[in-house]
Amino acid sequence: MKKRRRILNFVLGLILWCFSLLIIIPLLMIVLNSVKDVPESAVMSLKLPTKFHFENFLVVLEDDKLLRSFMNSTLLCVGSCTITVFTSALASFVLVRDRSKSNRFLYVLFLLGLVAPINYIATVKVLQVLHIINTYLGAILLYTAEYIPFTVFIYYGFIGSIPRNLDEAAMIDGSEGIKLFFQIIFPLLKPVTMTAVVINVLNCWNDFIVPLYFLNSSEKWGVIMRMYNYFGQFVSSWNLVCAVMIVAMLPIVILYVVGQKYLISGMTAGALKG
Amino acid sequence: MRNKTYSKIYIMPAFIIFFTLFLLPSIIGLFYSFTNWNVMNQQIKFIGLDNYKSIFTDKRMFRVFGNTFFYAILTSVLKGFFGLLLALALNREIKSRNYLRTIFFLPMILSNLVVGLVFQQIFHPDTGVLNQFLNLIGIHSNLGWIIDPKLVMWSCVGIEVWKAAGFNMVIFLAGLQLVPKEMYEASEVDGANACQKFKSVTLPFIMPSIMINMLLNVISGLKVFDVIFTLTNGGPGRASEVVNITIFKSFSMGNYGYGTALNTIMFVLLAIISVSVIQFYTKNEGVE
Repeated sequence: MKKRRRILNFVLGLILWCFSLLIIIPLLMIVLNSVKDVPESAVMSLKLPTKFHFENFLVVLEDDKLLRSFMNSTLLCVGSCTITVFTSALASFVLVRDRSKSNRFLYVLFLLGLVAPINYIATVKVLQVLHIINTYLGAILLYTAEYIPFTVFIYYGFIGSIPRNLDEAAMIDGSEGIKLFFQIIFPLLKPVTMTAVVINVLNCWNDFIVPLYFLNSSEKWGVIMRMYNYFGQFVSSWNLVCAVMIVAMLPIVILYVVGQKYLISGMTAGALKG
Repeated sequence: MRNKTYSKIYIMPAFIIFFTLFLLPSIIGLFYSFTNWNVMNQQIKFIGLDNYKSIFTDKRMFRVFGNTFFYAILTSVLKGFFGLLLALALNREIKSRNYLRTIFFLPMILSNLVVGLVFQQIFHPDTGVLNQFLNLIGIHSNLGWIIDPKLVMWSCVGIEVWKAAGFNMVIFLAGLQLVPKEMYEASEVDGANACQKFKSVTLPFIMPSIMINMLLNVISGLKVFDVIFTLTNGGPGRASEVVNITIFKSFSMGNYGYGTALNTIMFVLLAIISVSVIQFYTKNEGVE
């Protein structure tokens, strides 16, 4: 019986590795194409390059616009992520500790934000009225508004498991208000904060809807939008496009490998609650 | 003292940002959807339900909504099905299962833009890897996966399944951890076969995971934009146009009133679905 199970597991493993090729091959194609010359890369295939042209990456990295878009992406990610994490953690803390009717209503509104679509066209109007359209600040705040519902949601679940006695002990020691939160509670939230950071940075880095609708000036674009622009510009040199793709995705893939644990725990937070 | 620590003021920074740039536009959008707001006229005039009328009497919009529902439902079922198969297999003691899990989840984190552009190449009728592979294994194929209007939605569905089956897998894997091992052993003693074990032991425990997967799948399906935008931009013709593409097109053409009307329809639709999501998330709340 045991032996049979082991053989079955071995066979299953083999089959799954075959299936994983479905995912590996498209990615491999990008990598192979990024080191070919122009004629060879015209057709995206699995053929090995006759000669490896690593200088493609140099060509791409020497482009000032790409470097600038890298900085832009970093700025947008760090800015929106920082604001999202602090405001959401603080809000969730009060929402959990004081479950009055009005607070429950606010929580349901936040949850609605998990599902409802954003009205981009009307958002343009709001940004115009606030005079932050086509600015970094506007984009950062938009991302923040977009990520707050999910972040509140995962903090809410976690803070519920932190005993209230802790707050009370701190209050007796004379700590209260926002000081209590940042001294006592916030450090305990580290696992959720990590999850929120990983997921929000992933989404923010990959997003191209906000620049598409709201950032007309290309010098404010993030790296993904710049890549799309590259595609339009260099449609005939797929090798360069692929090199840009790799450069644009590398930070995300590294973040995934390093932060996988946090990413998965955030994604399953909802499923386990039911 | 208590009131000071749990003061509502602390909710406000998050709520104000969320309200101003998420809820408020939806509310304003509702009002604009009753107007002729567009890039051409200076004065915005109230035109009642005209935008909605022109949406619901337009046969081509019928097709757009049809595409959106087709995509949402089919991707939900297929993502759930493949996600469950992967989870069941990777829940077993396979040596390299951690690597396999990492690989199957990987597409989820990739930029939709990159995915769309790469699949454009893979689906190419003459030079694409897909047709070449099919020819190699003896199936003669020169199908235009994203050029043929009859096929294009299926190809879009295929990409989404490729991308997000791993997400479903992760949720199912979490659900499978809740099944007590003794239950399997007990049912084995009773002589249950694999199929019976799945039906009477596994299935009841992963019911909540199935629920939440389907809800999240349908929601993300209805909101689809990026992948189709890069892959076909709604083409050929309007064969793969979904609601969010129409919204973006009316935005670029300056038909703002019409676009906000479409957005309002989607808002209402998704708000209805969100009732069940919110119930799911808050049902065990009473006990603290």
